[in-house]
Amino acid sequence: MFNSLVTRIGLVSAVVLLLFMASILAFLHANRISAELVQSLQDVNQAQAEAGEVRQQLDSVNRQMLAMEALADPDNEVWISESESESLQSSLDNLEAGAGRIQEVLDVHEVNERPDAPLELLLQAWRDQVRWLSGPVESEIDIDNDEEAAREQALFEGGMDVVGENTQVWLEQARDQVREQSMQLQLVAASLNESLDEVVARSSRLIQGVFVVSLLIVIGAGYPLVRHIRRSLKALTKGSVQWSAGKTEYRVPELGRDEFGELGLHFNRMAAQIEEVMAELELARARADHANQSKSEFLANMSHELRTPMNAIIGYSEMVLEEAEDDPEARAEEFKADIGKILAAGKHLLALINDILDISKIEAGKMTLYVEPVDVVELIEESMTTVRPLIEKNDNRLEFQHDLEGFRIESDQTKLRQILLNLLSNAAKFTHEGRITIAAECRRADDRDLLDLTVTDTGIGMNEEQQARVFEAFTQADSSTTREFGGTGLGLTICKRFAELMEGDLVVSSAPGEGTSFTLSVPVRSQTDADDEQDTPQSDGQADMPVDSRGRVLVIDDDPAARDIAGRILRGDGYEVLVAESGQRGLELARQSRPDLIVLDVMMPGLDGWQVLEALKKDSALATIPVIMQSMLDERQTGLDKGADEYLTKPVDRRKLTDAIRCLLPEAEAGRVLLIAGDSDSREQADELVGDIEAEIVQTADLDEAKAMIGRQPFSMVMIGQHPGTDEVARFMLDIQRAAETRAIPMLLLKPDGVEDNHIDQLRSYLSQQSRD
Amino acid sequence: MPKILLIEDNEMNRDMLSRRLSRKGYDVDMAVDGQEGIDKVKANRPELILLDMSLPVKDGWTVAQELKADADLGAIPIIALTAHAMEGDRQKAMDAGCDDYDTKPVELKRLLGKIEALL
Repeated sequence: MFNSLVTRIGLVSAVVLLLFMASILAFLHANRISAELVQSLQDVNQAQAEAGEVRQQLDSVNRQMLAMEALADPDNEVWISESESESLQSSLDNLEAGAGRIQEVLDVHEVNERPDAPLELLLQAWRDQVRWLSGPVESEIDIDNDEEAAREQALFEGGMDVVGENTQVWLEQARDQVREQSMQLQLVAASLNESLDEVVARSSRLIQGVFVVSLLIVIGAGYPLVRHIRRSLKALTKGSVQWSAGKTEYRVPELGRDEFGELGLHFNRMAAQIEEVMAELELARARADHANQSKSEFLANMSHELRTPMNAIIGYSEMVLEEAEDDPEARAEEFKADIGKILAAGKHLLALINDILDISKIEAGKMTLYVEPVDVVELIEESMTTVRPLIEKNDNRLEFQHDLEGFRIESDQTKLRQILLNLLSNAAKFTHEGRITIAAECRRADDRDLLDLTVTDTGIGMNEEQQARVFEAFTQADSSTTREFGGTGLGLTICKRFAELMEGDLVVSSAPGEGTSFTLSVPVRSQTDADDEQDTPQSDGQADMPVDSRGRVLVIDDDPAARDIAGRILRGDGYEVLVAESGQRGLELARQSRPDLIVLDVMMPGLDGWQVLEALKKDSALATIPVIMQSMLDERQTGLDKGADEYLTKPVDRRKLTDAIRCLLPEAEAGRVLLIAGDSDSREQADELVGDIEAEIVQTADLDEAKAMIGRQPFSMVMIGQHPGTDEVARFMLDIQRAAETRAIPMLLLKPDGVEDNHIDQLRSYLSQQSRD
Repeated sequence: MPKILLIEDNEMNRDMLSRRLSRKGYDVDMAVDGQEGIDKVKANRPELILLDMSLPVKDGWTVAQELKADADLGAIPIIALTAHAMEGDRQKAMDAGCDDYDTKPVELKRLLGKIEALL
């Protein structure tokens, strides 16, 4: 509680303030007391003066009394005048009042009265004498007052002589009494003076004491406080100086648990943060430097790598020219080998440039992913088909292990394929008479489902240093490998970047002489495409890939939505669907996988639909594949003229598309049989005939419906069973025979036991109908 | 027919240069790495050596130093060839004892001039 600096300072101030208040109170109290004392002293002094007066009055009254006594002669009834009597009376009253006031003061100071009180007696005697000298006043005598009356009587009986004698004695005593009182008053005054002195001294001592105590408290509490503040400020200042000088590892020592301590703590925290940030900055700078250096190295290597095939191209071209000049008779045959070298170098150069463009595209952040559902097994098998010649060249075996039949992931198919092809061709290059295995499996890591594709070979392998550099640009395990094995030296760099772009990774493990294993890990569900999960449900992945497809259709379209729609329609209809996002890719896929039909978009960046169509029709291997063109614009005639088999306008109508495909894809192998019959016997017969062949038999008795069905979907055979409408059946058969699209469909008449005639009738009718036309 | 030894690891460069020199009337012998180059110099005593600098097994600078250190073979002129057309490389090659220097890609006329000057 007393840790806080503010509390401490506040507490000290409060104590000092309290002390001052106490001293002020004490001072006021002392003041009041001394004022009272001064008042008393004044009273006493006044009483003393009064005592002097009283003494004088005593003498004065005595003289008057004696004079009056001499004047009056009671025996002769000569009395003092009334005015003289009154004057005497008032003098006596004054005297009595003065004596009373003195006695009051003495009473206040508790000085005891003399018990014999001679002054009182004297005054009484004088009063009696005055009355006596004034003559008798009977009426004035109060008869009821016995004592007074008795004294009056005694006075007159005793005569004034006795009174006179006593008066003189009392006078003396009264003088003594007054003198005594005066002395007593002096004593009281002295004691009062003493008290006053004491009060003043005490209050000044108190004030001094308070001052001293306050001073001690301020010094006692203030000095350590000031020292502490000074030290703390010093420490904090030192800290800031150190930090500003770059020594961010400096820490302010602990400054206690007060505000400074807290400040020091915050300073240290701030320093720690600065240190952390500085470290991060340093790291970032080092990274940037390293990246910059790598880039320079990359550039240097790149220019060297580009120059090598360029040398060959220029060198051989010059040589061919020189040889042609030297020997004008030389035949083209003789130049063939050199021109082949020029071509190879040109291709290598192109591959290099492509790879470099890929890398710079990745580096610039311009490489985008096109995420779509990818059938893992299909993708791997396709890639295997592509690299098989390369693998067999070195007498290697290629194996694929998986239990992911039909498993689909959401990823960029093109980039996955590029990585796979690269890994496989690497494995093939560096392995002789060995085994190359692809393994695919799923695992869960960091809350993500990952697909691991591992390509393992039994080839030459790599040591640790080579493994560390294998993903760097232009580094092959050995510089001589380029000569022996070819390649741009950028393949794995690109693969690694692609893997990272897909939020996955590509890692290597190897040992010299024991082979190499590259593992590509990619998320099963693309993070970037998480929002579209509902649009591309994974659960139906297997459902829409039938084992026995009705044919393979390649959809070439740059618009993902259009690809998706076409893909769904066709898969739903039982076709195996391949998709390509560009004309170039479409041509590659067409060459690789020889689809049964191609759906081709017209407007695409790069190679457009027309160019692709032209390329397809020029390629003897692909020219026969039917092509359906799709476009927003209706250029049907142009399309058909250029060799397309069908032209559809977008947006694609499902019916039109499926119908067009059905027309173009003969489905002999589909085994669909149309049975025209109204009874169940025919059905049994047809089933029997079909036997174990997995053919679908569609039965109908309605001939119009049968016609519509044939128009809508191809059938491999039409069987004619029992049907009541002989003529109608005959006309139906004739129609089928005549229409170009259906002419090829064989027809079979079913002959139920014992109903032979009917068949013959039908046949005859059929034949006669035909001859008439 | 002057005998020239071409020490070059790149197959295409070797092929091109040897054929073009042969047509110009030189007897061209070839080696694919530094060690083979030294062996062939010892065995065949060429009149001039064309030496690539970045060679496997033993690089061009080492080859040049070793040959020039040999009292017997030191007199054979060496022309250094390298793809790195940089002043530093030229100096490095000359320091290693080469008699002349040419950059790749080879300009045949210029190289022939240098060969003739040294022969």
